[in-house]
Amino acid sequence: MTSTDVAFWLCASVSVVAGALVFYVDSMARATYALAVSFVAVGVALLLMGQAYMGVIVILMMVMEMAVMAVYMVMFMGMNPALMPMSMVHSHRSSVAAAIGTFVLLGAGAVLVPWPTRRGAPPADVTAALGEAIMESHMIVMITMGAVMVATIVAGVALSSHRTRYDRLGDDLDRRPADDPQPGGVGR
Amino acid sequence: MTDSLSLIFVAPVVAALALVALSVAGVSAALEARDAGRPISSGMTIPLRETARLLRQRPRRTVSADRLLWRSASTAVIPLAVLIVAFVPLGAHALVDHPLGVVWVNALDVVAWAVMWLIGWGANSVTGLVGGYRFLALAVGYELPLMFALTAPVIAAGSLDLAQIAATQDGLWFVVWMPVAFATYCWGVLGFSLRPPMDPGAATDLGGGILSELAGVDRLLVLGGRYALLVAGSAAAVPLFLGGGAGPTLPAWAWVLAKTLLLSLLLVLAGRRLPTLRPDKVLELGWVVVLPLVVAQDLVVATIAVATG
Amino acid sequence: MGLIEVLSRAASSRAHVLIAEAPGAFRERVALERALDRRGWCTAESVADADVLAVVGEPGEALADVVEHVWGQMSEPRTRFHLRDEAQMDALLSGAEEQLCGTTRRIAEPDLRRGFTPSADDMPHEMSGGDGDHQGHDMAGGHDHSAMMPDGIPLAEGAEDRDGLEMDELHLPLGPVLAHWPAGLVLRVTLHGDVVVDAEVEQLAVHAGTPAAADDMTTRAARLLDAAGAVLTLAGLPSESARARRLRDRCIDRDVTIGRDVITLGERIARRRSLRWVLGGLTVTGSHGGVERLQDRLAALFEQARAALDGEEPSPAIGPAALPELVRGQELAAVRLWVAAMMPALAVDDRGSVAHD
Repeated sequence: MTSTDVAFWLCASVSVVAGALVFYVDSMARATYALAVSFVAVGVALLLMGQAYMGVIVILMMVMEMAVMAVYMVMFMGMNPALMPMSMVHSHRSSVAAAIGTFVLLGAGAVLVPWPTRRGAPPADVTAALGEAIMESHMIVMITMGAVMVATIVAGVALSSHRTRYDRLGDDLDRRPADDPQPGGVGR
Repeated sequence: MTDSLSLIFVAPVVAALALVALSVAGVSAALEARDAGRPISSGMTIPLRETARLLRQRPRRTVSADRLLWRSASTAVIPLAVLIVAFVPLGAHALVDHPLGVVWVNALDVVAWAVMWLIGWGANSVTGLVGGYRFLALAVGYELPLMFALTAPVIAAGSLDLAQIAATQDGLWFVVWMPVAFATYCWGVLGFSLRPPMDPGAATDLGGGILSELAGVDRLLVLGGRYALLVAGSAAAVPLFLGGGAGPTLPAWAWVLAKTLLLSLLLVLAGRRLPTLRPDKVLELGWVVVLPLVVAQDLVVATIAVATG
Repeated sequence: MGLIEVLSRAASSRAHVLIAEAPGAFRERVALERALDRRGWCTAESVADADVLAVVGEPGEALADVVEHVWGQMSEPRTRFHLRDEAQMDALLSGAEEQLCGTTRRIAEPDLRRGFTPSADDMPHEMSGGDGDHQGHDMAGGHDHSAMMPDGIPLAEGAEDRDGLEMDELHLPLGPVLAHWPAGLVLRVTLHGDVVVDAEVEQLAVHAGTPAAADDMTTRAARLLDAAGAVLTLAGLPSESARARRLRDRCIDRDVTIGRDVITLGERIARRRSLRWVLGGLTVTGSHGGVERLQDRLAALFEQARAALDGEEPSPAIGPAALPELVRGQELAAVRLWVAAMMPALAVDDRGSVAHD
């Protein structure tokens, strides 16, 4: 049992326990940050696997997501009692069954599959090797895909907004300044 | 994490951080004293007197406060600053030498999102809550430009290692040919340290925002933590844009200290001259004006990097 | 005990003072602020930040209750004094400093004081005792309210906000003991998030013995400059605010030659593009239908101060009853800015009147 093994088991248990705590704590803020702790533990586990870049990116992204979730939590959940008993589950029995089933399946796969033994040593740049293994010749597609996804998200939000640019700028698109309930800072 | 400095350097680094933070706070207070018509020297000792005052004050508790989240967040601000400084190379090595230093610094300043919001939330008070959300709104506005600004020196140096980036600036500091990235980075530093003008989450027009229910040691930790984050952000800017420890005569660590101090002072002085920026203004500014400018800056840097091989 | 003494001396040399101003005590409050500046003390930005509670003028009964309440929320070491007359000021301040220095920190168990519960006045009388045996007893509606009232504070009700989302409604009383706020004014706002949807204004009654003194021209000008200084502090420009307050001090000292300086400062502030941009979207729709911008109101404050010093008649005041309509739809910080800008217009006369809307 090397120190890496100990650290891994620690991260694994923190991750599972924190994930379970999301459904037991009494407040949305605690649930959000219990989830953040769970994700950070997964990030640390990735660091232990030698995937430094993946690990730190998981930590960064997950903390930021949890912080943004705090915004959505208030926007869409309305009643948001602090330190009040609340129930976070729906269709209790079927979801417990699905969760246990999935865990057993994946766990069985992780434990029972005959993993090959390592041949040779890990390459010098683990992140580059991982990237190449996943994306191979489609690397440039993947890179542009990121920008395309951002554009798609922005376009989707713009399309789904119930105020169109005609509401903002008038029928001839010439009203300046724009008629916004909350004006921004640039004067568009 | 090989070649890091040994752990005995932790204490001097933390002490240096505290010293610079106190000096910067002192200068800010000295200007305040001059505004009030008192001599500047009386202002310089104000941070020490405030520290004494807050150490004597009893911490407060509010009704139904989420004590776990509130206290853990208010104590986390200073350690966050120390962790950021740990990645800054003082000479050849940092406290924590990591090939992905830039990404770690970025991850740490994102943790500030969580910490500041939790300080606002934890107190169960309207002004704290509103302050926390004002901070988040601001953060959504400055964070993406900050991330793109961090990409510029990385592209120019071809590495995510802060020591490597500092070394590549032998000759021409990055601040000279990527000024937009530097300015955006500084703006982001003011943002995550909640210093004026990026302080709507803690400003007077909200009764102190996230600070409104803090007293005693907790208040000291958060107020000091704001300065510490400002200094830590400036320290991280030194290898990224200001040439690291390069400079004649003095040893590298002295140059890093000097540059950190100068940049922090500059940020505090410039910040005082601007009114508190309101989140609805900053959001549009950040996404519609600053972000395209920084992406354009990245394009220029990338072109130059490719052209010079 | 050398270290503790050094610490105490250093701490009490930089005390934060929370000023509770009673209506009609404007000159005394300004004198106190000047004395604080001379001593190196400063005003507290919130109750948690305060060491000293300074009651200025003669508070009426309601204000005195609020002051007691605020006193209960301050952290030890704390002290208080009551300033009625400018002559006593130095003695009171020195006394306060001695008190702060001498108060040894109690290392006893936490000092649990039952603080403010927002709707204490709305709750049935039986609940405010907080005795566990009374749970479920005598509650309207029949079900167990105590489960829905953590620590005696009822949960917020939801309501649709301006974007159609269901947000909790928060009730927040602003004032009367608040920095950069008119004396004796209480504005109870209903918030959806940080947007005010409803407001109720109340001017606390003054003490029975307060003479109704009309302001002379220098005091009027001083009030206007004080309001300008308050707006500038709230906007985050401490040096400009200090300049405005220095002019205010010169007004109080009956220096009538400062008309030029007032104009210069007003123009200088109007020229600051960053301030114009930040205050940009803040408008109110007046009762006459016109839209007024905050930066215009700020410039008007300087203009009216110059006019007051030249002996011109003041423009008609709007009175506090107009306030709820003006703040509807503003966000919380903007409300503070607007009330500070309208401070001179709201102080109809110092007798005040109870106005509900």
